[in-house]
Amino acid sequence: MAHKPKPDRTDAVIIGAGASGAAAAKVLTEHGLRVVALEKGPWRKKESFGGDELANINRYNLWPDPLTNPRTHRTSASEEAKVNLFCPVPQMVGGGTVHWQGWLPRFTPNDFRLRTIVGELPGTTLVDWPITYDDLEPYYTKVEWAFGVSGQAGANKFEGTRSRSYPCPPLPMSRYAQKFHEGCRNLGYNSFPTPQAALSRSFNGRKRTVISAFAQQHGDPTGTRSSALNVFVPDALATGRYDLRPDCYVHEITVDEQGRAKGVVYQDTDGDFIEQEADVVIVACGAVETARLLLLSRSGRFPNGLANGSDLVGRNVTFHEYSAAIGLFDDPIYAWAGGGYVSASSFEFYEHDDKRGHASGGLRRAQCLGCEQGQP
Amino acid sequence: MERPAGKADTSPEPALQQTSAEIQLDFFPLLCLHTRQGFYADPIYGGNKNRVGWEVIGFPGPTSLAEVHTGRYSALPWFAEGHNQPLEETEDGA
Repeated sequence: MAHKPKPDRTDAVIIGAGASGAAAAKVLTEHGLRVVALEKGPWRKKESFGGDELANINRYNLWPDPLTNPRTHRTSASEEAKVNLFCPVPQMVGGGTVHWQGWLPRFTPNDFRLRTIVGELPGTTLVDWPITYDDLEPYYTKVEWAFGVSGQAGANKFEGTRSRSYPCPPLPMSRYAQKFHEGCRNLGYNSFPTPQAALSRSFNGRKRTVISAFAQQHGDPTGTRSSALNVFVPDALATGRYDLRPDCYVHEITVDEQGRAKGVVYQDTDGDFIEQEADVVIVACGAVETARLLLLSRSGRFPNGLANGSDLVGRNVTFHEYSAAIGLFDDPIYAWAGGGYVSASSFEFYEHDDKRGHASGGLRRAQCLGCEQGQP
Repeated sequence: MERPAGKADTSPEPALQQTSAEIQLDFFPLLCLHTRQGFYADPIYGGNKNRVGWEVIGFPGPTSLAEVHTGRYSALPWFAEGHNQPLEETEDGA
């Protein structure tokens, strides 16, 4: 492991090339900035994806290998950490959007002021966001139009005001979505086609997304499902100002005499350590790796890591919280037919309600996860 | 993955194999798992001859991985009612 020549300083270095990092790269490069992106995982092209269920569902084609890249988990500081598949979403160029089904409902206005809505919750650190739904609304719209999100504006009656409709109409309605909508209608609940980052018609030079049984957790070999890999990365590359370096693992964010981030130290694919300096350092590694990197970036000035004056970095993390109820139907719904993992949704129980005895609520949706159980 | 790596587990493998690693399974559960995988995985692995595994569970899988790769394989007729043919392309929505 030798030190290679130090690369030129750049305008911005972005750690991570997933949903947020690649979006930032598109915005910055399109505004004329030179960006270096350091991505821990590989840069896989759509040609390497396909309909192999054994590789994608049973093994670890897109997910990090649990043996060479383990995560540990504990629920309190006094507990011993155990190896656990906590949040094992893809770590690669495109990040979790490579395997996702792209369900993209917006947060509601109340999501940004949950502390105000819920009130004081002893034992928690709940606060309102420093921004409101209205601040974020233009950016929801930008992403929906970049991805060509398929949805029905106004169908979710709990959604905040939107400045623009969806660029593509909803995807074809799955048979299990039909059941879901029927059930909701009978109960008097509002329901809507889940907005998805997939194309119900050709859009911006990409063809309509194929409804395939090999969708959830498979990368899309056709490149028609919308992802950071298919949309933001090519847009950023087209500027000629996006220097995307895959298989580069950042160990530390370095700081200058004023205590401001000045660059990063990373290990490249040869195992060599390299320092990349930049005017701006953007940390975009997802909830787990971002916190980890900030905590690893310790110095005499920042003994608890960076941006951690609160001592809250890395605490209270949650992943997707799923609760499931399984329904059986007499007529076939072909749950294996994929594509619509999240085909229909309802926000009827999404907003906080004191009467339920817990904070906040959740999205209800019809989904299949590829395994049909007991269908006649 | 609640156990230290390398320590064998004698319980049957879970339905979604991604919740554990095969290296942790004992011989017999591993044999059962690999038999099942061979029977139901894509024929390119050498099992599931003439897609017989798919036939017995009524899964109209692709005739080859190339069908999926090129986007020719579609599950739309099963996914949604009223779609017996692949969808026609409409105009660009941009």
